[in-house]
Amino acid sequence: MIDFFTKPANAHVFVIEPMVALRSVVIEALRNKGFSNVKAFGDLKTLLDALSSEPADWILSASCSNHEINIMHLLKMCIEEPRLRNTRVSLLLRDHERDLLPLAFEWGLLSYHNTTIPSRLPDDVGDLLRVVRTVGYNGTLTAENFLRRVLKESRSWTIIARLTRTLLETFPGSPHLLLSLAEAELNSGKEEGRNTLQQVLLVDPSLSDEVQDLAQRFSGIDSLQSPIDLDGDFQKGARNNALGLECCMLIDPDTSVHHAVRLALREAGVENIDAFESGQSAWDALRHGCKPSLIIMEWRIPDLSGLQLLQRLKLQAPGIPIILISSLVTSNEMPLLKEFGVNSLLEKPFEKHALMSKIVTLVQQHRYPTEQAAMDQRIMTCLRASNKTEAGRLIAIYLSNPQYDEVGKLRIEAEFEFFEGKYRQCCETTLQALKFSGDSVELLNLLGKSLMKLGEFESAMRFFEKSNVLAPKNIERICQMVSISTDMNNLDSAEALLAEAKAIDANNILVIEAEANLAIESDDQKRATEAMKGLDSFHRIAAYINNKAVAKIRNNLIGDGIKLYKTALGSLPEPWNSIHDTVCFNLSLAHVRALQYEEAINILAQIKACPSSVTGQKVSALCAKIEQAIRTKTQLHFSTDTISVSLSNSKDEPQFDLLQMIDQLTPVRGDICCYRSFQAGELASEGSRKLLLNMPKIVVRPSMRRDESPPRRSFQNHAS
Amino acid sequence: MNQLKALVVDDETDIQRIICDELISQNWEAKGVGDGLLALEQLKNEKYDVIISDISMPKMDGLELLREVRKTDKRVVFVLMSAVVTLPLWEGYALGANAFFGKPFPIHDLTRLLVRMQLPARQRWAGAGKKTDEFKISNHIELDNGEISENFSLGSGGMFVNPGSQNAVKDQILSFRVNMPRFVLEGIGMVMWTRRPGNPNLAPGLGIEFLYLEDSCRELVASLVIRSQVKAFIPAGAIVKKIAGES
Repeated sequence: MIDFFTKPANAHVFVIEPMVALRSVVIEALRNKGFSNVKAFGDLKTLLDALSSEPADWILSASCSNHEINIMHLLKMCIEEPRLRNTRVSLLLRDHERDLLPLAFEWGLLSYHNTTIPSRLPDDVGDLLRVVRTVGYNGTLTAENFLRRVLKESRSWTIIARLTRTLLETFPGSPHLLLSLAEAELNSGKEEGRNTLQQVLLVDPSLSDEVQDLAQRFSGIDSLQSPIDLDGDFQKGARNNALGLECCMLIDPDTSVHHAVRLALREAGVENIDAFESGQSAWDALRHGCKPSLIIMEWRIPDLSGLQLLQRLKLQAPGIPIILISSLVTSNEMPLLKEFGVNSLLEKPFEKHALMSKIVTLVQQHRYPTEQAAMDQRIMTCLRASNKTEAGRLIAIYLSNPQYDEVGKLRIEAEFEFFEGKYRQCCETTLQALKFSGDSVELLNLLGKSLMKLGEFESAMRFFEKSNVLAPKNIERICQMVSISTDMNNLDSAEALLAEAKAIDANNILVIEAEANLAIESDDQKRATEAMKGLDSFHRIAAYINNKAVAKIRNNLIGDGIKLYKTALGSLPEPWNSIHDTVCFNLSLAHVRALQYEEAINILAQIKACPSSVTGQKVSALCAKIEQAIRTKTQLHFSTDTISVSLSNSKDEPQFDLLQMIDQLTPVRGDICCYRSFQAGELASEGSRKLLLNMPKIVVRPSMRRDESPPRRSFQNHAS
Repeated sequence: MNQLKALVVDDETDIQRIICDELISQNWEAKGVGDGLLALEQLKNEKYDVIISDISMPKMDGLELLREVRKTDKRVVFVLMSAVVTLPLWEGYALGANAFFGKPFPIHDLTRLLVRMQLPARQRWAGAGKKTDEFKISNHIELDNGEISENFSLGSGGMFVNPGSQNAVKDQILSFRVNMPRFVLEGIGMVMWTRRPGNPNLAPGLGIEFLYLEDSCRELVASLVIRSQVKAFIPAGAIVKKIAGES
């Protein structure tokens, strides 16, 4: 995003132009458009010196082709230096230098402005601003607009079509890209151009003038071709998948909605649509492998309500973008929806265009998030899926975006600390964020979760209760409260909370697990077995019980720990499952700890894993140690940490800090103009390639914007 | 309020059931039928406070049903409901529908509508004298020349107005001031629909339901509406021109 165009007076602009007279014309043209903070230099070397003390939003530079450092070097530097990732570069072009453009765009050029006739410059800057506004301050789409002008001169319609299709993957449904694509397709005589043109109207009716223009130009050129009828049905023949959606799931009991949504999506080129009339049938399909790239659902659906379905989705199929179309979402359900990351709500009755615009926004933000809420959601999805590398990359982008608010940044940092197991630190960060914001459900909940991990149950309970008032019926939260109540030995309250969760959705796996956990803790094997029959996996239960048992053992309540493992073991339903071995192994370790070696050996003998497997080898190693201890009548010693052993291979992930991550950020497609979306190939001139060579070794430490560096420990540490 | 009686007309039995159940749970009396003909049959024998009808149905659709009902009954509250906007909203209002709801809709929207519609127009537009507290006004429109023209027409529950370059969105509450030949029409209303430029037969503009009218014009407008036998709740633009022109 090139947001600095929204507030030109605050933007840091640099002009590099060797000719003094021309330099002042450029400065004047910029000042007239409100860019008051403009500095000018005669060469790029001086600019680089200046950049170490001042941040840059926008650099307009002549090619400097005979200088030591030229424009290509600058472009390359902006890509390679993460701290210049928000800096955009435009080229002040002489007529004879047009051959530089293709390669410059490959390396992330924003725009070019011809300085051969200086009097035209003010209009030229005005033209750029108009383009920037039209494409919603998106740098990539701005660059596409300028690059397209270059490609149109050489009538490279196939290349334009390829470029726009590539960019549509990142910005699905973008009306401007679709318009470019339609023009390219029509110019190369492709029939699907007609359909693409109609798709533009579908996603953005306000572009009707542009669409009409194109339609008229291509109607009647060829007498065999029928005129393009924009109001009529879509033409036969190929249709681009304008939204890039592979499969869309639709849940609404009303078949007239099915019809309307199907029609709209088909026009947008989405053919694969699974429609369901009830929540249960949709859920069954999801469980049997249906993987939609978008879900459109009514909130009031039969069999399985929207509230139930949404919570199951968030747990078992996270990260799918969801649009609710309903007039029945009440205001007190909104905080919960927000907590689940559902921000897209469309009231009934809806119009086709309103639906399309919701879909386009949601799909674009899902594919390439720029809005803070969309980024929040994407990061949370990564953290939930333990995708630390991608989460780290996104957080680095998040923290270095000057447009995002500070509370949000603190929250994301706290979420990451929680993920990393730094619960105390997470509490501090969250409290700091809470100071700047009102009661936010997400923050209160996070605080509750961290305090729970720290064993400060009473405080944790208080914060959960508070969040529960703001956003009731969150099953995950209520189940955590069940666990806290159990920890506080308040079994009645735990049962009451469990009943509350059951009333929302008794078949939610979190509810089933909570029931099994509670049953094991209250030594009710029958109830635990019954509950666990409804589960596909017992991993989380095993982990939960292990944590509880280890805590007891550490507090020298070894007997209680052993009892817990035994109950868990006795509760596991038939048939045998690898979790059985995990529990046996941990139980055996507990026996060792209690110096009950015979029992430990007996338990190990129950393990059914193959001796050559990792588990089997661990078992034989432990067995040998115990036997030796028995033989030599010595005691086996374990540090408390090794007591909790999980038989699954622990992930050896590298530790990294977020600041380092910022330093290692590499741009992906869509980040910096057309970089990684466009390859000049044969269009790149010999001259332009030469410029890119001989890049001098320059070490720039560009300064961060002052308003950009957040008041936070990590950044302050780095500065000092 | 006495127990209210609603006739729910929808060929989709699931939806019919959902709405009826909800109404019954709110202490309404509700009857569901599957198409317009069955609804007319039902209306012969029973009196209802409100008819809630889907638009597209076999045999007789919602618009035909509305036309038939309005031939004999101008008072019964008629709500068109639809999940998808398949026809321009103004057509429904111009035929005499009092509201256009999503499907399904929150029952309290219906209750609120009914409470309002059961009052005679004079009372309904008096706004209980606390107009500023009651409404969150977010826009104001002015029309200098409020003669009955392609830019203005009056219906039994609101007006069509073309405010020129001023923009408004659906559901927005705004204040208005229209200079009419003999009086000034002044008050507060809600935008029920908007029409963009480009319609060959009708001017662009807004359909506004009156929520409140100033003391100075309320009586006059109420009597005007009653005398002129206006059918449209909110006129589409051209249709009411003739009728309102007579008065």
